[in-house]
Amino acid sequence: MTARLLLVFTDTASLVDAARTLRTEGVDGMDAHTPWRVADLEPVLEPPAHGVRRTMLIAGLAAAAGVFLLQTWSAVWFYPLNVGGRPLFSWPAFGFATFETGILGAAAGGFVAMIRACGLPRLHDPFFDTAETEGASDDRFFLSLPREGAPDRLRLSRLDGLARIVEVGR
Amino acid sequence: MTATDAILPDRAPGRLTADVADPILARRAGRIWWACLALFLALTVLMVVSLTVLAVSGVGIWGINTSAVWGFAIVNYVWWIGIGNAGTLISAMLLLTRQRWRTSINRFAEAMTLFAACIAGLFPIFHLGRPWLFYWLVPYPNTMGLVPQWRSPLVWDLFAIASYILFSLMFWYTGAIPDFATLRDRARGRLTRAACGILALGWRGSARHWQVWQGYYGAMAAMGVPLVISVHSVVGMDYSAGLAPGWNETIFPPYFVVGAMFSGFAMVVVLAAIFRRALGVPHMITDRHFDIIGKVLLAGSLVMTVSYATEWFYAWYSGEPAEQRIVAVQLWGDYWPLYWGMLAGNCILPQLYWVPWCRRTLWVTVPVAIAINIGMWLERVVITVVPPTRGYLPSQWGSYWPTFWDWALFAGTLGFFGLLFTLFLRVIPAVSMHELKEQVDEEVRA
Repeated sequence: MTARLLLVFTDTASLVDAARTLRTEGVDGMDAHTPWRVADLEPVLEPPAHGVRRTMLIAGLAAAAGVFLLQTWSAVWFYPLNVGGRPLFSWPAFGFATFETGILGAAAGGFVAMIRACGLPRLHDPFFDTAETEGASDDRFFLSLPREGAPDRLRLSRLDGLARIVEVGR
Repeated sequence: MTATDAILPDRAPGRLTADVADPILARRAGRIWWACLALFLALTVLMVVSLTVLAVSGVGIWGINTSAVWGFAIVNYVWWIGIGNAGTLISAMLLLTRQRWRTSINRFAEAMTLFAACIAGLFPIFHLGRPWLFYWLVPYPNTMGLVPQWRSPLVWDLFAIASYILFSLMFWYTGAIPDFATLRDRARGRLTRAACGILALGWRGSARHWQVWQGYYGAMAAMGVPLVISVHSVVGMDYSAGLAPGWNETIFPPYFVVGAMFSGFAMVVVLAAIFRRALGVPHMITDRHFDIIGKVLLAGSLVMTVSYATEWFYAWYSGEPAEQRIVAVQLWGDYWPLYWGMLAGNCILPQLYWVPWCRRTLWVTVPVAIAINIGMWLERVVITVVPPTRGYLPSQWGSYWPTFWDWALFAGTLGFFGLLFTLFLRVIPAVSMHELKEQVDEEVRA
């Protein structure tokens, strides 16, 4: 990881305003670390699309189709069993396992996709190098920007609501 | 607006973190906690002993017979899975409808789901007679050349419950990842820090993390609602796919789904009252929460009452003597105290919730919620026991009486549920900190 500056704020409004200001000044590669989701940040930082839901759809459909075909194959060809004259291809009865497995497939596929898209697990990260960042899971808000190309400290210190600046990843 | 009327606490985010995290990280367990742990551990031992005796001696130790083939095993299975269904349903449904009061209760309601669903899964497995062969229900390549019977409700149950438990685990864990990160950053002990660090997976709360997390969590909630409905519909199909009068009814799937939500919400009331006291968080779980849940329980009670009335109506309207006999036996036969107890718990006592004071007063709302849980358990007893013992063949008529081991296993599972919750209180944040703080922040900014 290249060195990054972490601008610390104590409220979300200042964080969002600072992100907007720096964005209009042409600062790229910004990220934020917050204790909860700040929806207003997303249009400013524009994180790239993650495709987790597309993965869920594909995994769910594949799992459902797989289980439906398994039931059809085993009940019609592999082990045909006449139960009270009911048709071998009893597709309504196959619907339960198909639906449940489809949902489970989507959930499991989505979980793996989410973990991958977040770059987790990652137990060691320069972000954790300083105890200052522990506030990012409590009540502090960090705007992260690459040190290379960042405005100078004097300019940054004039941002409204800025508590301090921390540098990580040197 | 007074503090008890508020849905969200009027506190700074840092205070909220401390309120939830400190009972886990900083405070030592009190004497009441240790007493509860000892009691529930003893009952859990009873459960293990019951299951061991059952595995050694077979299902003959239970009160089941050739008429009442299901007995307590299936009664308790349906009761537990009903409670288990509610947590994910509550959490997912309230998330999709953007109910702000959800954030104080969703975490422990989801934990309730996980614990209850795992306990529920034990009963059909041990009811098989040879529980060590339960994996035969799973399709896998085997030298016997066997595959599951896909038209059997037992196989539907396996897929429904296994999918549901795994789904609920992922939903619950995903919601808790940011809170594990909070514990990791707040913990001072090395072991706690390492354990929470592993569970948090290195969560840094970046904008990217939140965007992806929200995408997944929202989609899970959208899938969770139909999944829950399907799981308890499958449980209803266990009965309605049977031919016994009193079981072979199309109303069962929706009636079971509402019953599950009803009993689960009632259990949430009981657990919320315990958490409020144990964690000392009346500002998070306020009287307003009990007020809203009371209204939901009232609506559930009305739907259950209509369902029972529908059963009576169709027994009469069908002109089928066997159906009419089942209703008559339930109302006036050997099991009448159970049926009337069910009506008292599910239909009559919840009418107290029409009165706002009753919904908001704990010493009223909690006993009514317990009565609902007892009523729902009695409902499963009369549904499971009466129809097969008063079927179409008079030669098959019989009766059912539970044995010591039936009661012991039931009491043991109650204890095991209590044990898991007692440990949960000391290990996992019982309230979703990040969602609560997000809601509070949105309110402050609005």
